[in-house]
Amino acid sequence: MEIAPARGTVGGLARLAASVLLAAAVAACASPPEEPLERAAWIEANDPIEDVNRQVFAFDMAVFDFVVRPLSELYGAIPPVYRQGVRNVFNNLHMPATALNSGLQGDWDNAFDAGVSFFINTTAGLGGVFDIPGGFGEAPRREDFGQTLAVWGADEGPYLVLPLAGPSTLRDTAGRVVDALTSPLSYLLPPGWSYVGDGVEAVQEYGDNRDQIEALRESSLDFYAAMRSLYRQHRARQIADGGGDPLAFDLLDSDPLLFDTLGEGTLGLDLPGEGG
Amino acid sequence: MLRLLPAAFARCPAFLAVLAVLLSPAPAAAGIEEEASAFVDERGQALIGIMEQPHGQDRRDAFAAWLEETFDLDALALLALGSYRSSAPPEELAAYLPAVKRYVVAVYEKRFDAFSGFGFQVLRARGLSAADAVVRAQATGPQGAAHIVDFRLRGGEAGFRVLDVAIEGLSMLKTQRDEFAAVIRKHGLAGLIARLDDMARRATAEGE
Repeated sequence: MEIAPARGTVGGLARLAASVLLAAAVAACASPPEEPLERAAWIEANDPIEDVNRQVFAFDMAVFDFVVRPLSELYGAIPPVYRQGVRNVFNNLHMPATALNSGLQGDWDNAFDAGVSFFINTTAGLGGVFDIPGGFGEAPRREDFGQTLAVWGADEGPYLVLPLAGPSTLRDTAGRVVDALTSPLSYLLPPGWSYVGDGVEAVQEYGDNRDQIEALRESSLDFYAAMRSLYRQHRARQIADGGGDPLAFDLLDSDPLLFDTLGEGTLGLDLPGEGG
Repeated sequence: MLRLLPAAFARCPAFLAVLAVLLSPAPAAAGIEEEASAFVDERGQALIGIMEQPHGQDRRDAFAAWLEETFDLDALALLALGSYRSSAPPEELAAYLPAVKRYVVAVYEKRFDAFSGFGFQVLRARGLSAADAVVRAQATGPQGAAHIVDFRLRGGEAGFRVLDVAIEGLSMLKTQRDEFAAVIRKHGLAGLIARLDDMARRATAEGE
């Protein structure tokens, strides 16, 4: 679940940019642990300002529990056909950014599909409430400027948790600033009101995935670490356009535990209590 | 990928013939796709049957037996330790492996109710070697929403065992590895074991 980014006002963007610069400065000052195992885990987590991030995450979760969750109960009472309409509207609002970023990534098919989809759904679909099939095989894949930066070769940068906006990275946060400028809400609503759109989208996303999110939260040993892992995997998947194997499967092949026995048809593990 | 190739190459029959040979699966992996698909299909249908049962000890026992026949839990648990595996004291490792099993059985069994009404269908499989394969399936929720689920398998004397499951590209192993690392960094392996046992106890107690 991702609470949508702040956007729509110069002041909001300036605050976001300032917080990112501050986080980046702090991250640059953070030094990895000396002990090799600690250092390996620290590098894999890619979270040099974890203590700060955890505090922001706690704040975000408090807002989530006291605002988003109660509102999602109301949202859940809306008949499914209207909820689908809300989903369609937000999906349609992302299409201009998708068209632009697909073009910037050289994916002209997706850029064209997103552009046509936005035009048809905004007009014939009454502002995006109805999703009109445009003759595409599949709906356009959602793209944003964070993905474009990744395709262009920009490094992920440190993991960040943004106030009210949730999990991110330095690269994705920079992307949010550009995405804000391509959102129709920034131009349709009075200054500051686009935050309302972000809030409604957060309620909609949580309401649609409530059972799975709550089950994950209940069963996590460390919910913060789980969300950090899932966010980074999710973004890696989006950047790869959903293709290939899950990236984590590479982890299996590179792990000496399996790499040493690959192809032998047995794991050959040395387990405690089995005589080594 | 073909879209990125120069059009002249893409129109050249000889080039396409070479490309087809290069892209065809290795002979050693031939046949493993069918076996791996059948295994995942049978295991998936069996799990759906278990999920239909009411929450409680009987369902936990059935799920524990299913896990043993489906996953290589020892391998999963060791992989989830990541870089900490090499430094783990043997006595803590001996306590850690059964703690992971208790945690997985109790916590995942409790989550089944969030996934009731799901359907399951194998889509395709790909052999990676004579013993390794990836099987892609689709889980369909009661509202019709479809989710892609990838299984990473390895064959052995006891048949196939699952090493990792990824839902929409989100790996269970990678997520647990990252979670476990966060707990170990703060509380050590002994702290992780205590946390696993605590979670298992709470999950078992709730709903009894």
